[in-house]
Amino acid sequence: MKLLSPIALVLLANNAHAGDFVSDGFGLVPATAISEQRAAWAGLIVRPDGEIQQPPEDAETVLIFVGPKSLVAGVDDGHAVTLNFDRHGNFVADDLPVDFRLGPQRVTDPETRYGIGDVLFRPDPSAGVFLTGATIQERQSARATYRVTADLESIKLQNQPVEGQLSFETFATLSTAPLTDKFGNVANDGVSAKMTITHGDGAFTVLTPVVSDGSAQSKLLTRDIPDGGAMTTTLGLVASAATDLPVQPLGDLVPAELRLWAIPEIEAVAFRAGPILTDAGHLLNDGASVKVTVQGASGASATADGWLLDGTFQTFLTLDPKDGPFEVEFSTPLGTYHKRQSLRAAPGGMALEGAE
Amino acid sequence: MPPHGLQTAQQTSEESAGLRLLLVALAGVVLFHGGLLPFTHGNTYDAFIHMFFGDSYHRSWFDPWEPRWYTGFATTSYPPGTHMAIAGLMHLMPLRAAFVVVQLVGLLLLTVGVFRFSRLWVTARPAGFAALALVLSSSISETVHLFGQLPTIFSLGVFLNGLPYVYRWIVIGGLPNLAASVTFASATTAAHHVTTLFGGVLFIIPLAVQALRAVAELNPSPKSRLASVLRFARPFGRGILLAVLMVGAMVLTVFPYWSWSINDPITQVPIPHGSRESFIERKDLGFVFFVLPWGIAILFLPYVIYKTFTTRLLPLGLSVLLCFVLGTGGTTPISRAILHGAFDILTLDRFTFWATILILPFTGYMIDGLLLGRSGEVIRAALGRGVHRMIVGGIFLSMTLIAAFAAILPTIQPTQPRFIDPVPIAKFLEEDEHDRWRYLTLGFGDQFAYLSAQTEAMSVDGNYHSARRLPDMTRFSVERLENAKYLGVPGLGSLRQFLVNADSYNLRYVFSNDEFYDPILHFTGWTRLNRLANGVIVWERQDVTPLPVFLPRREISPVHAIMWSVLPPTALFMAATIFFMTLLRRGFGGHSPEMRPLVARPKDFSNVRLVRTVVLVLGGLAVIGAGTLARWVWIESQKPAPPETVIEAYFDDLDFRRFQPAYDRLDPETRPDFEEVMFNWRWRGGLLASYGKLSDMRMVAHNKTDNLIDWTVELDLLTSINTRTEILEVRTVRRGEHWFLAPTNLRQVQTPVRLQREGTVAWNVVGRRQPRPETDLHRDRLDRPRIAVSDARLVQRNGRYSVLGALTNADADPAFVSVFSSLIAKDEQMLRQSTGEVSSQRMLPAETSGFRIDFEGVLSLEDEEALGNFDPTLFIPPELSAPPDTASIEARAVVAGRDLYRGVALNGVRIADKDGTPVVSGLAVNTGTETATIIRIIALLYDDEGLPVWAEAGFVETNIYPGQSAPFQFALPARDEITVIADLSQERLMVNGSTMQADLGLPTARDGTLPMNGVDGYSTMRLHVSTFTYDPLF
Repeated sequence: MKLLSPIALVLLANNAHAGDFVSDGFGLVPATAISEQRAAWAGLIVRPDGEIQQPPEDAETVLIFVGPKSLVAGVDDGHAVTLNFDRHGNFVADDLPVDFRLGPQRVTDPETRYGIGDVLFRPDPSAGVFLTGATIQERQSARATYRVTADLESIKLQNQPVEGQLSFETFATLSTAPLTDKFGNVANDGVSAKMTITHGDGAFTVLTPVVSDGSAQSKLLTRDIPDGGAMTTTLGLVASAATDLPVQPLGDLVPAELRLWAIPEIEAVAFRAGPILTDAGHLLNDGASVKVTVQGASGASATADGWLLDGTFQTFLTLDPKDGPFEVEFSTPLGTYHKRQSLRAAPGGMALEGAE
Repeated sequence: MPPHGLQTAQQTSEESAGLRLLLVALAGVVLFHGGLLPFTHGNTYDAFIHMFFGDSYHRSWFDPWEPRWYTGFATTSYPPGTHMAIAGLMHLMPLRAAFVVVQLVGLLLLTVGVFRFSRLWVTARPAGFAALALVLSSSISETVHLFGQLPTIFSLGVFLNGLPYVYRWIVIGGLPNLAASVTFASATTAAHHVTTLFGGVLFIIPLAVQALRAVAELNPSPKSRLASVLRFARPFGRGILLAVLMVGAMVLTVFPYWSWSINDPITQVPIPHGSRESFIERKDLGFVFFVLPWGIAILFLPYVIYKTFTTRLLPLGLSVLLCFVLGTGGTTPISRAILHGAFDILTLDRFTFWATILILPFTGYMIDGLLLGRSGEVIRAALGRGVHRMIVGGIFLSMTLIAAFAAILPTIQPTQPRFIDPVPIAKFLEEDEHDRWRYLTLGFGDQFAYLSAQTEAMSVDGNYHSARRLPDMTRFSVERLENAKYLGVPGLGSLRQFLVNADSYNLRYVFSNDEFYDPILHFTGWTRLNRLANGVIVWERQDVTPLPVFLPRREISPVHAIMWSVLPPTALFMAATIFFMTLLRRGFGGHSPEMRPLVARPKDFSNVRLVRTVVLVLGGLAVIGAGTLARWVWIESQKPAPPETVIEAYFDDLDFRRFQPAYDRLDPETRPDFEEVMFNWRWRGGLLASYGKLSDMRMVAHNKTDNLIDWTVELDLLTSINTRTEILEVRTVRRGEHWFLAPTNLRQVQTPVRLQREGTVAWNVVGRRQPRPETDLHRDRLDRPRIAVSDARLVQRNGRYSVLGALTNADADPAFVSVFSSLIAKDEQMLRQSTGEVSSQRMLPAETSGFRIDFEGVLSLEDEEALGNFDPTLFIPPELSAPPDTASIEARAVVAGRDLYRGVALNGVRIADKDGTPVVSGLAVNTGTETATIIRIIALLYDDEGLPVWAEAGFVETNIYPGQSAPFQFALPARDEITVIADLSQERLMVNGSTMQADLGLPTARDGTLPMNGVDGYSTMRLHVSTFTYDPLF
């Protein structure tokens, strides 16, 4: 008998310390002490260069991987792969059949090469999450999943028409029609689009709708937009036709009441406008932008801007109270008022505020 | 003097008194400082750093490589004596207790040392008073309880105990004295080498002069001049020999430190330190580094000067005065003239500290005179016993109060954040292999060092700037990364480099205790995870490469390692042995004939009336002067401030959250209630109000009358993202003589509904799907989302290089995207950077956005900016071997489920040309249900050929509650500022590890963009809005 030294035992076991011991039905023997004959008893094949190979045994562990995680319907192919190990952790032999279950499909053609079985597959173009598994030599893998998603490039994008006219300072829900691809799959929740409203004065409003329950939805708050406009939705390369967004205009009910009075202790002039009544049956909204310019008889003028609160606006201006009468120009979203005015008595509950 | 060996009864009595005073002083140290230490050391600057070093040696005594800071550094960068003492004690007690014990031992050594040192200059009783004065010294209180400087105290204590041997060696020789001197020099160096270095000049030279004087007195003048000179030859020679041996000991004891200093010289920008400032211009620093440590002792300086030039204390006095001058820092040019280049490296408060130690023999002599000597007699005779008691009591009371004040100052004016329990953080790092990555802390102050000591995880930051080796840290003068906001934009620039290029440093976790950094964390791609039990927020950067298994380290030779581990503790042990042997054999109070202290001579004083007159006149003048000063201060404080001052003070108050004083500056006639004004302030949070720090302001008046002035005020606010200028219109109103600000109002738009109802999509990236301990099962992983980079280009603008393009998430899942780019010249890769704020790191499925990567270098020591004032707009061009001709991009993504709020719409967007600068403006409206704290808008600009040519990020300045809105405006560069250098071809792009991108239909300049009509050079613009939705800070 010839002692082989050094002898390297190649194992792909999970927990074994390869190269230390050989275990067989005759007991546990240090690998360095094993002889050719003993190696043959243990089923080891001895190579002349001193390497010993363990012949593969039946499959014991099957690991499955399927990717990519999201396959676009009708576009992407999936790839399912199994790694197949025997009880020692070695790869199994070649040419073993692998039975893949891929959602509704079953593929039995693949055979192992170097212990690995794999198959490229084209999933059905129906969106959803599908379970997969693989079987080899009656050993099964754990289950894995893959997902088929809608083909966004084949979606026909259409906005839902807006009913009636939008009011100022309100939320309006803007949405698209259900987003389905050519296979009838609905776009996933969370997909993002872009809604752009082009206004008549050249301004734009930009919203980021997100798909929920099959359609892209966003909210528009009709604030500081001069009028409605035309809305277009874009998702990737796909764009919808323009949809009109009419906004109901407001008019004033009566011209705004304007009042000027003196603040002698600081030699200034106070101004108050309002309440601004609208033809919609309510005051003009809080936060509506306003601006006042007051010019005295000498030509000196002062300007202040701010916002309405409870339908009124008041401020004080760096003007000499003796410089009256005054020309007042007061602008609101409803229009501009002009008035020639002299000083009057201060109203009750005077509060002078600057603008932010 | 009596013959050798014989002492008079008076001397014996005085020796006993001196020893009793020393014992009282030692008891005082234990009771006063020892009683305070357990409560104050956690509030100091340096204590935790020394604890960290102690922990380092405790974990590994013989390996001086510490991997936990700065990607690793050598502990041979700091003398180890005190740290090894802590490490040794840690086998018996916890870390903090070990620190307290070592510090207390240092104080006791210092007390004995002061007594023994003073004995060389004055007799025993004054030396005892000197020791007592040390206990009540405000500089000791400050050094121990405010600064936490352990090696300074310990090393000086060792050093002073070695000086009697130095003195005896010079005067009388004796090999035991030489050995003891060298041993103590070695032990001092083991604790802190700077004490030996400067102590040699400031303490030993005066002592040597005193020793030579003693030699002269012990060897009265011989007959010849030659003999007169030669009598000094041997003592002088002994002094030279001692100096040589001390230098040798200093070098040998910490030889690895010197080797490290020479081979790895400190290549960093000088760290600003308050002790180098002018104390007249910076009174706050003058208080901390000059007034407080001197305390009442500064009043003794005239006495010191008098005794210096009239007694044998001349050498000591000159040393006191030299240290006094050097300790004034930049107040005069004298310190810099004396120290030259060392001025910018040394912290000059050490000279003030040494001055307050050197002065103690004078102090002890003065107190002895006041209590039991001639000075007391004079005062009692001239002014009476009552005044004498008041003076003496006043001195002791003042010393005690100032010392106590210095000790409790951190509780009055905290210098550190509230205590942060490190345990939850250490546990987080231990779980789930989180310590496979590096971490960073923000807002921890010096407690970061204490946290470091509790974990084996590694940080890119550290708390010992001399050991920094990373170019990104050495070249910015930031003491710690997390100190960034206190040093303005340059500090934040250094922090930003780490947050943006986190992958390069394997940096994955940030523990934040300061919400100031929230914006930069969020908008550079960090995700807020959770709040730990100690209130600290954990931030995570996804998709960061973990640390390699084998980390690079500096190999320190085994010889050096053994030297470092053995020599310093051996030196300390030997010094301790000598100390105790001396104590047991001779004690510290005995008198030796070679000692020639200053002895008080009794002398009659006859001019009692003169003294009384002078004192009363001076006292009267002082009272009149104080009264006049007080009256002037009162008058000045009552003068009405001009309106500019009122405006400045108002915004300053708001910046420092002093709301009542700010409210008091509003017009009392028109301001609402305090609660209403507070409500308005609280409502208006967001990037500037919540996260901004006021750095400068300017104001211009217009519309002036006598009582009303309108101002345009520009506020420069530093945020962690950038500096921003907020422009406000402010009105001031005069009421009587005083100016006030007119209160401002918010735009009170109303959320249209009272209850919002909205269906939203929520994601949860599950991660671990089963209750199994494995951290990363393959079956639980999601593969990378499909992303695409398109139309990438290398451009140049204003001399700066950028890579930009469009990024699309072509997957069905939301993605967190990391994009890196490298500049390339002639196929050689030069500089690699990652995206910062101009990139939407978190993208929904089917979203497209622009990105831009800017290439910036690191401040070099040769740059003028390294020396001068900080410039908020500072940009450091990268150091490139050649101009780049192309670039490469690597992008990768992981599935993300957080920070995907898209509820913000942009109403009324306009693009206008303002003086050649395109400006985008509009109204950001929050239509969703979450509060939008900070909103970022990324604009990708397409040129006339329909290719991206620039990407810019704008931020909305205020937070927006649901249903509310805020205006925004940001500028874009003019097209002619941008030069396209190269379009990046497909082979320059690597996406998710592959150079082959999927054949996807990607949006172009016409898809989902806004036309830029009337703006030269641009055709369309793509806008992407992302939002930081954590609760707004107030």
